[in-house]
Amino acid sequence: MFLAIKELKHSKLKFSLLTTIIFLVTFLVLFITGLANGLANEGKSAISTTDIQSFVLQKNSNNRISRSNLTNDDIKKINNDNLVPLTINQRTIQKNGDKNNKVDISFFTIDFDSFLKPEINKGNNITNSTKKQVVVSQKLADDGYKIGDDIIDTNTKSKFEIAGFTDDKSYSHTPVVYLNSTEGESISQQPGTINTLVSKKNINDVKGYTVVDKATIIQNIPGYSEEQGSLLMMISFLYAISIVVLGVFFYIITLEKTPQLGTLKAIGASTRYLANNLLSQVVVITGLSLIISNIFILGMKMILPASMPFSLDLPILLLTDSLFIIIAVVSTIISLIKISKVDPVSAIGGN
Amino acid sequence: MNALELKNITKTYSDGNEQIEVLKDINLTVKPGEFVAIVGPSGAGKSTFLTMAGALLQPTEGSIKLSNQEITSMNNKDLTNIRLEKIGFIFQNSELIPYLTAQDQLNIVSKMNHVADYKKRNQNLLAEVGLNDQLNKYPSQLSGGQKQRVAIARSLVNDPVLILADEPTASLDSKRGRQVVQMLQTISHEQNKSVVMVTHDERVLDLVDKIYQIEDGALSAN
Repeated sequence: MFLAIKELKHSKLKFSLLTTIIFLVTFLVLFITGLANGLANEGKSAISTTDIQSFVLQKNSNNRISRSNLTNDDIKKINNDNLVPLTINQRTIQKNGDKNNKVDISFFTIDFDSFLKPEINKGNNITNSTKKQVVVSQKLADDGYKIGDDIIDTNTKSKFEIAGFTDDKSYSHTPVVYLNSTEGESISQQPGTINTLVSKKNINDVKGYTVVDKATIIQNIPGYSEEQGSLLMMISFLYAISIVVLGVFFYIITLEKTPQLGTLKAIGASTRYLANNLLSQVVVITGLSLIISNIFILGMKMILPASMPFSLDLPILLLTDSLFIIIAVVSTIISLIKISKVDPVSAIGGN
Repeated sequence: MNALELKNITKTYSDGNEQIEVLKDINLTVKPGEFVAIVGPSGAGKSTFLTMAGALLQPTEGSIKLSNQEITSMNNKDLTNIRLEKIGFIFQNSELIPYLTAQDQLNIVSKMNHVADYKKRNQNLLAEVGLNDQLNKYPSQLSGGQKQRVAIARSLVNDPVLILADEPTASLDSKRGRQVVQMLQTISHEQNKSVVMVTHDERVLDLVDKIYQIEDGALSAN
């Protein structure tokens, strides 16, 4: 550490520039990770935040809720007390009397006596016997909707009053509107049927139907896996680019120091001692860059508009940070090889 | 006990199919407190001689003993330790580390030797070479002569058995060059250290105890 710290202190400009570059790269990685998470939540939060373990779907529905259709006969046949119905209808709504502002939403028809009943942040919850009232995602509040507003389903012209708001529940990038089964019938295209039966417990295979877990359902939410795939690709490339960029930087710095490394080896420094010095330098610089970029990311999180969903929880932030430290250490491999190859004899005979 | 003992040292390099004998059957003993100069034209094998005596390279044949310890059979790791513990180097262009202050140039050696409470002692070493006002100066702030004096102080940090100086006057004018060699003489005689200096600066040869000549890889007393 002695050499590492002395050198950092002496070559402030060089190492500040390096810190800046690593800061920018880590910031970009954290930012895209946050956006990917934000988009993922927009796609799945209405499903992922529930306690659902298993979904029973119609056969051949390709693990998509919207492609599954269960009739009353099906429900009788499946006959499992742990299961509760869930129907999703993706529609467009408008405020009563305002035809110009339409919003795409997802109607979730649920049993309000079941575990699917949403928690309310503001206003009142509804029950299975409530008439003409719905509970909606906080996201609709960002679009200017308030408690007591009337919303109209543009397909069926059914009208509902907003009774309360849940937190940011969304499905396939649309805010969720929860309604009970009676009101669900009024917007359904196939009244008397439901999409799926869900359970808090793991359900064994049901003959004649498909049983899948939550992760599979989420992967098959329209657009979800494609979108996450692209973002994951970007993040992976950023990591790969980081390894190369940092590797080149550290290598150039090491090359520049080769004569000194030869001298140090001649006066008795072991390769391990010099390698540890480089590694501690790398960890210090990367750590510093990460601290700065974490502060920036937290600031960014506060100022980003709701239209740019951003989510970076502490575990993911820490995971990304530690991954980057590993990346930085990996990038020094070529430099470490170089250090091991520096010949102490080079110090003799002048230059 | 001899500080340095070279017996029948031969070093050959292969250049294509040819074997080049850089050092031929060299014998040399240096006693504690002895100041020895090795002179010779460039290409005669002075540098190669220094790398052997300095435990940087192993000879092709022969034996090298450093305070009676045979080093010719050692691996690289042990040689590194020998250099760290027993040898002090003074290089041609002083070769100080650019980002260390004068006293840190010495402290790093103490650190590598895992010595505690080195600070005061190293400051004294710098004071002995007349640099007590330059303790916190970086090499870029020191003159050539001052740098070479830091290098001398650095070579003493590990209390070495042997000090090897590679053309220590090469980058200095005659006055400062002579001061540096006088300093080496004082260290050798007063601290009972063996100093071997490779040089082609004939103006300082009156300060040494023995002069050896290397020519075409063979060593002879002058």
